[in-house]
Formats: sequence, C-alpha cells, structure tokens
Amino acid sequence: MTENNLFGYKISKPRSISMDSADLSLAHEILDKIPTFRLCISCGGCTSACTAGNFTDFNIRRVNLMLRRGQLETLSKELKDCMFCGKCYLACPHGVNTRNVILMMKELLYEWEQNIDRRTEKL
Amino acid sequence: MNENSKQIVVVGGGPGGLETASMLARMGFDVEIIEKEDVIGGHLNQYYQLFPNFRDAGELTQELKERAAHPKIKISTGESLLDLTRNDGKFEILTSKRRKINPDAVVMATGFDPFEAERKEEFGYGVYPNVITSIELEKMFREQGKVTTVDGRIPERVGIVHCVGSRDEKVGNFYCSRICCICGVKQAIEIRKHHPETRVTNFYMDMRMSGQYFEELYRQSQERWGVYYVRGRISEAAMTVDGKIRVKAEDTLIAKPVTLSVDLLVLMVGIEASNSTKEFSKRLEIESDYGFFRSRDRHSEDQESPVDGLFLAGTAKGPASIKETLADARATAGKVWEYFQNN
Repeated sequence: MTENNLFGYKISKPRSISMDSADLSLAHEILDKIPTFRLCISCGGCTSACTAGNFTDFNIRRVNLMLRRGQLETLSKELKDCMFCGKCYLACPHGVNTRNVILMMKELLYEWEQNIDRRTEKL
Repeated sequence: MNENSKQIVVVGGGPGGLETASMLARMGFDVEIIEKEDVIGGHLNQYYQLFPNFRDAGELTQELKERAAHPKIKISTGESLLDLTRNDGKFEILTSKRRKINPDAVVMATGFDPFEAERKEEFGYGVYPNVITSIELEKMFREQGKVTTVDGRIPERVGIVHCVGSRDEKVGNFYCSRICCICGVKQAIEIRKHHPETRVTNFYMDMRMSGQYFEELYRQSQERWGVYYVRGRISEAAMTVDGKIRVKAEDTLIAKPVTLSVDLLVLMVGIEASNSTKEFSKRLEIESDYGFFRSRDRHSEDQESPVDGLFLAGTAKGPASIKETLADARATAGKVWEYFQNN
C-alpha cells in the first residue's frame, strides 16, 4: 500500500507484522472454541489435499496462520473458495478440525467486517 | 556376592539384548538370551550402513555376535516367552519350547517393530509396487548394492517421505520416532552416492537432527550430495499413466501446492513397540504410552522397571538409535550388578 503525499513522495506501510498491535481476538476465540486448532504445526497436509487450493489462491494452512497473526483484511475474500469438503480434516496428522475452523472464521469475520463498516460510517 | 550363583535371562537377541548379555557375562553372571527368531541380531541384520558415519551394519552385527559368544552366555534362538511371572522373589518363565526357567533377574530387551506402512493407505504402500519402506531400501542396498524399481531400472527420481507413522494422530502415534529424519538424510546420500544421476527429494515436516553429527550430515547432504528438500507433508501418492508415483504436498515455504512424479517412493517408517514389548508390558502392568515399557524414573532409574529384579534395555522403552540402545544396554548391565549387591 502506498499513498502519495503533497510532495509526490511515496510513504510505504511497514511490511512487518506487529505482533504488539495485531488483532488476535478472533484467533483466540476460535482457539478457545475449537481446541484442536492449537495443534497445527503448519505441515501443509491440508493445503495439499485441498481441491480449492489446487485451482485457486485459497491456502488453508496460510489462512489459519494469517488469522493467528491478526492479518484479517484479505481473509474473507480468500475463504470464499472453500467448499467445505473436509479433505483437509482427513489429511491432518494432528486432528485439527479444519472444517470447523473455516466455518467459524467466516462467521467471526463477517461480524468483524460489519464493525469495521460501522466504524468507517461514523468517520 | 557370588556372581556365579546368579542366573539372568535376557529376553531379545537384538543389539540391546546382546550388549546387555555381553556385559553381564563379563561381570561373571550366567546369562541366557532368549530370541524368538532363528538368528540373533534383530533388525540390525537387515541394515546396510549406519548413520551418521556410514559404518557397515554387518560389521557391527558381527562384532556384537562375537562379543556374545562367551562361555557364560547361552543363546536360545527360535524360542519365545509364553509366560513371565514373579512369585516370592523368584521369576518363572515358560518358553514356547515348554521349558521352565527360574532366573534371579530378567532383562526385557524386546525391542520395536517398524510401523506397518499399509496403515497409511494414502501413501500407497502395498498398492503400488514402487512404494517401499526405509527398511526395504536398506535390504536393497545390502543385497543388490544398488537401488532399482520393481522392473529392475535405476530410478531417475526418488521421493523420500518423512514421519510415516510418527507424529500422526490418524494412526494413534503422537510421538516422534527420532531416528527417521536422520535415516532419510542418510538414505538420500546413499542413493546419490550409488546413482549420481538420480534426483532425490525429501518431504519433511521438521528436520530433527537430534544426535551428534546428524546436523553435519544434513548439511553434507545439501552441500556435497545435492539432495532436494521440500517442507511439506505429503497428502497422497497416486499412480500416473506412465507408471510413476505422483505425490502431492504443499511447499509450505512458498505456500503453494506442489506435485512430483517419482520412480520410487521411500517411506521413513517409524518405531512402534514390538508385539512382545506390547504383550509383556501389559501383562506385567508396567505399560507406558503406546505399549512400550515404563521405567521407574526417566532420569535416574531408567534401566529398572517397577518390578523388582526386572530390567529394561533399548527400544523396549521407546524410540532410540543403535548407539543409544548399546549405551543403554551397558547401563542396564550395571544396574543388574548393583541390584545383586543388595539381593
């Protein structure tokens, strides 16, 4: 993301993820409600088995990690590609209930985005 | 104490059992090794070279056998344990040859079995003939000195799958088998040494180079032998129209699904408690997780079982390398000696 200022210089947003200010509330809520989500070791077995992931940019392992880092902006767009077939769940060596994680993420992201919209309206 | 008056039975004639018996005999005890197979040496008999220094496995087997060829050691092969009980401070053993033995102490060196790769059916073992286990690759090196596919060709591409049956809830094994990572590195180097034209790709979740010189070997595999590594767990293997094995994984470091066609797929099978280990740890009620034996204390009393006079050696307690097993066996012998100072 870049913005032009008065003098034509570009100001880049920092690329680094700030773990201090990241919004981890969604991640924590899902981690609480779906305890197996804590067990992910990012092996990628889910992505490898994922039909959507083989044809679109949807990457379930990465989506789950983005959530845990509070990188929420692009998530709901990416989640649209999930077909809830559950193959990821079958492939997971740690028994993470990936399907439920995605479903819950969709619900929470919907609320989160509504809130963002309301905040923007007030401005 | 008169060592000559004490009789000890060692159950299992693999590296752990042999080394325990050899040490005990040298301390002056009478030892009998009971081995269910017709030959002693255990799984070591199938191996080609040992990590991390590529020592010839046959040479080590020979050395262990020679050490165990001792006047105070009786070796009974082709015989297994039917029953083992302890009454009034004395053990009672019944063997498959209907022999009754009453030893003063027993060492359980009943070892491990490799994970049965058929149980991970998505990897195609037992379905596609060019999917083999790490143990079968060892045998191949040992027996024919080269790597071939079922139709006798040198493979152009080989895939190596780490963590087969380990760290996997789906087969009920949460634990890490500890030796498969380094075995995968060792075998990748061996393939490259024998067949420099063959490309070898290892699929891993984590590379756990826990032992001394393991990390160096991993580095050597990259620097000198050009082994490829992909950080991602394979989800499935399937046959292609031209008879190759096509594996699917995610290259997690790029965050994209990845496929690779190989002529030979080698599964790094993990370590599970052997049937004898499972059976007797349960019957004696000294079972730890996954059917292995439980020692009195993992740090200070790891060679003693909770049963007085019953000792444990090697992989009967859990995954271990040959080096660790041999060291453990020597420690077990020392603990048996200590036991007889007071009993």
